[in-house]
Amino acid sequence: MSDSFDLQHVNVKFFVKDAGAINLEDAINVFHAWIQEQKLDDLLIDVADYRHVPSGPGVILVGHNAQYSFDNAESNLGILYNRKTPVEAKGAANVQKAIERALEICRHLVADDAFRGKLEFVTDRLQIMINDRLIGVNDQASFERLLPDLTAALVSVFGEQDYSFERASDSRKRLTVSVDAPQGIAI
Amino acid sequence: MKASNPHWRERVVEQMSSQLTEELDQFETEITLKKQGKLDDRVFAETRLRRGAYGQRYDNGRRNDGIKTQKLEFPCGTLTKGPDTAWDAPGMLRIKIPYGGLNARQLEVLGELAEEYSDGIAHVTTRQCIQLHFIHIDDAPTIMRRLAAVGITTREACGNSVRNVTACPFSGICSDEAFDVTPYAHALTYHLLGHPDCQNFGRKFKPAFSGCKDQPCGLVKMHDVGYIATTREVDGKVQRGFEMYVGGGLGAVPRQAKLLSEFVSEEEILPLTQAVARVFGRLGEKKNRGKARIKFLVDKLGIEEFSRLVFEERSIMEPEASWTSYLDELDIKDEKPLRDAGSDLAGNDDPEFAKWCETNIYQQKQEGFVAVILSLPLGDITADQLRSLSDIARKYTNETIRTTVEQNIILRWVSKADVAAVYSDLKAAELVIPGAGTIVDVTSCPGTDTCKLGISSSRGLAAQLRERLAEKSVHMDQAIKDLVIKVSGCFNSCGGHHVADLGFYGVSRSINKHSIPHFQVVLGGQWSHNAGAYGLPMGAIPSKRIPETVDRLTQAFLDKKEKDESFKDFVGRIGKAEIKGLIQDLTQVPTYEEDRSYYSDWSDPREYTKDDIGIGECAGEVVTAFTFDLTSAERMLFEAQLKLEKDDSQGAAIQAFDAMVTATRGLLRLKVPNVGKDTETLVQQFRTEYFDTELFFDPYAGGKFGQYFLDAAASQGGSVDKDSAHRQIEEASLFVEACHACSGRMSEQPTAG
Ligand code: SF4
Repeated sequence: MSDSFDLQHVNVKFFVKDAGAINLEDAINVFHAWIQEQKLDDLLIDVADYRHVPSGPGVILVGHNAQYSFDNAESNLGILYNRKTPVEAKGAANVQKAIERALEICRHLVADDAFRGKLEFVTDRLQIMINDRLIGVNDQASFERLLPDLTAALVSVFGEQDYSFERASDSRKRLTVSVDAPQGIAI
Repeated sequence: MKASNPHWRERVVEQMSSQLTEELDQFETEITLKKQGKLDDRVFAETRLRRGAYGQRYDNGRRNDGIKTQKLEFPCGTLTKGPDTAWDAPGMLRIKIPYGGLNARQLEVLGELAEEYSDGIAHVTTRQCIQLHFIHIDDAPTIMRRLAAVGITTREACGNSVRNVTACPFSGICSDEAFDVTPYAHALTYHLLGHPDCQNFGRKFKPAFSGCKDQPCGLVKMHDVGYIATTREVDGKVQRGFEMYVGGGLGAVPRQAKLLSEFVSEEEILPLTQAVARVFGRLGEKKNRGKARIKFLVDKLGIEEFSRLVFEERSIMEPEASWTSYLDELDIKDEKPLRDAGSDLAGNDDPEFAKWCETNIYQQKQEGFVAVILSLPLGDITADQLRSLSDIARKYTNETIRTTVEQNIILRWVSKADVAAVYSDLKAAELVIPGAGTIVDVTSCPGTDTCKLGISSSRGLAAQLRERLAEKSVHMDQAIKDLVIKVSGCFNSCGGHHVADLGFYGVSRSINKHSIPHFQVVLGGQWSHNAGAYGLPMGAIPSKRIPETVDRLTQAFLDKKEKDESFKDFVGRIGKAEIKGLIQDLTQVPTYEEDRSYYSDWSDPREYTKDDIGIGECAGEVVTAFTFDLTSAERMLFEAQLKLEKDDSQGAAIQAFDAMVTATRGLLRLKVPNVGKDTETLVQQFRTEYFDTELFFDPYAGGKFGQYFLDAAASQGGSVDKDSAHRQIEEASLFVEACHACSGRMSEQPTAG
């Protein structure tokens, strides 16, 4: 990838296996507790409750650097890490950081009493988004520019395997890539 | 905060008007000056508010679990964007949507901005605006540019200014209207936007248009200034005009607007409103914000005296082209259908379709067309839904979209033949929620979710009520379905609780040192007749018992109402005592030990406290027009220096002179009722009012600084080199300082008596 393609605002979503097992009221409680404990390496500020919006952002933990949510876009519940502030790293390293950060959130949630035994993740799929239409327009050219960094990041986090990628078809959307990992990923 | 901000300017600048380009560059400069400590907190707060950038409620260390407090260490350190507001604290951006009119591309851009800078949601407000939350102030100029590129401004969306001009969303398609008010609302918006006569208010100024008297859509009587379309016949010709009202408003002290004139012709509507603004700007309260809305001025003077002053003011105003120029193109806001009219609603196998049609379809006066109402839960819509809606609007209509004061969206000019297909497409986008305009369609202000003044969680309560009432709605009696519920987080009534059948506003109560969120129950307001009557408070009920309260009151209405009796009349007939008796037991709160759920608010596990209430920004700071002009002058001096650094001597000198002119305008406002519009008049007024009288003279330097301005005015147009530009910037700086000093001396002068 060329240096000019400075990947920022990388979003990562891991999908929940059984959305029916999750009560989002628990997410509100857990996120408030995290604010009180300042659990993450970010300044945690507020919780936004959008449970009333169909296929909406669900429940969001708002941090200064990122938003962390039980996101229900396209009626597909998952844990979304949405980086807002710029990070120092570039290219593959930045994608890798975002994936690792999203994994960290998932692991914290799985370990929480409120979700223990209920929260499991789909292990053969994840989604990556570039939340900035100037950095990544959702077209084939940007997709192709993104792939080497994306692949490198996936390999460094989850190891070598035959990843396949699919770009969201609506060009108005953010550059959104669904990743299939046939041998599974450890969350 | 985004990394890509600077590049968006290059991307969209070509699509922006030159005026907005300049204004937003100025705003960015003001942000730079604030960061350098060169701009006062109050002034910057009002500057950003007038651009629509609000402070949002945030913990700021005042609340942790409800008992402890904990400081939020924002990276900005001590940098603030207003009194008691950290620079990095998340903010809200209010986007003005005049009369609620939107097109497909605008929907798409709102979705893009919600995704990239906010939390993925665009929120429709109770005044037809759109709000984005959790915005960083550093991102605001970029967002504003991207909006400007599609013809949307956030200017004067907040602060002490003319707010969004609202209008009935069925204007132009309603059979009850006298005529379509859309072009008038449009003309008033752009005539008053940034108008010099509207920059010196003590508080906000909200206008509203309605096409008729009886329906609720315009809510004219709860506005600072309101217009109801009417016609009269003069010499056999039909003349258009408006009944014009002033001094309405909700808030803690609601007032019904009073009639200013029974008929204001279309030629007069803009100048007469401007005259109202001038009287309000001149005589309205400036120090006590609680008394600064126009309703208090009307109260104080009486409507007769207020009217006399307005018409007197009107008689001395110099004509402006925009007062009537729009009348030549009234039809530019006319809408045409994209598809042919349909004879009747085409069928759909979905059993929910008929139910949805009952409440979410509005029959247009144009045969064969309907407006489709999209009921948005709590006014929220996702970016994906905005894109889907833009597709639907393009496919079936000429992008004829409006937001409503009920926090919904309307798609107008849908052919009856297409309704089933539109339903299917909306359903795919999860936008077919039935019950628009019924008791299920609860509206709410942001409340404690994001508003600094919120006392109880209005959105939390509204979401609960929506969910419960939707479940019951299948078997609900029509009389109950037709009721209106509105919720506000505090007495300020942004949710409009005064004009609902059942209104609720947030209050709190304390028992044994524990606070409990409550809602005051306000019953019998009137949504119809343009918000024709306000409800009365019946007592405070714990927040968690409001759903039960709704059940009791609606059941009592059903059991005891007389034939065709409205809820308002029912409340009036059976009386406050009986109503109170119905809900009295619900006021009881279990002890903290018995049931702690009463001691926290909806959707919030923390123990309830009011400790995180902040200073409200609804009204903004009262910053005088003089302060604004002087702040602008200082910004111009800063820009002049930047130009000089880039070797643009000519540009720097012009900018320095403009700074002097702007400062002069501010100074003249302190003394002259009609400040000149052109430079020549300003120079002349400065000479006669300040220079010849020696009022401007410095105790030590005499007339030296004033002479700099007069000399600069006389030498405009001459050649400029780097040295002379440098000197002119220096002189302009001294002149601006002298304006500050002069105003200080004037305010210290003892007044008579
Ligand atoms: S009514 Fe109160 S809580 Fe609601 S938005 Fe207005 S000021 Fe805020």
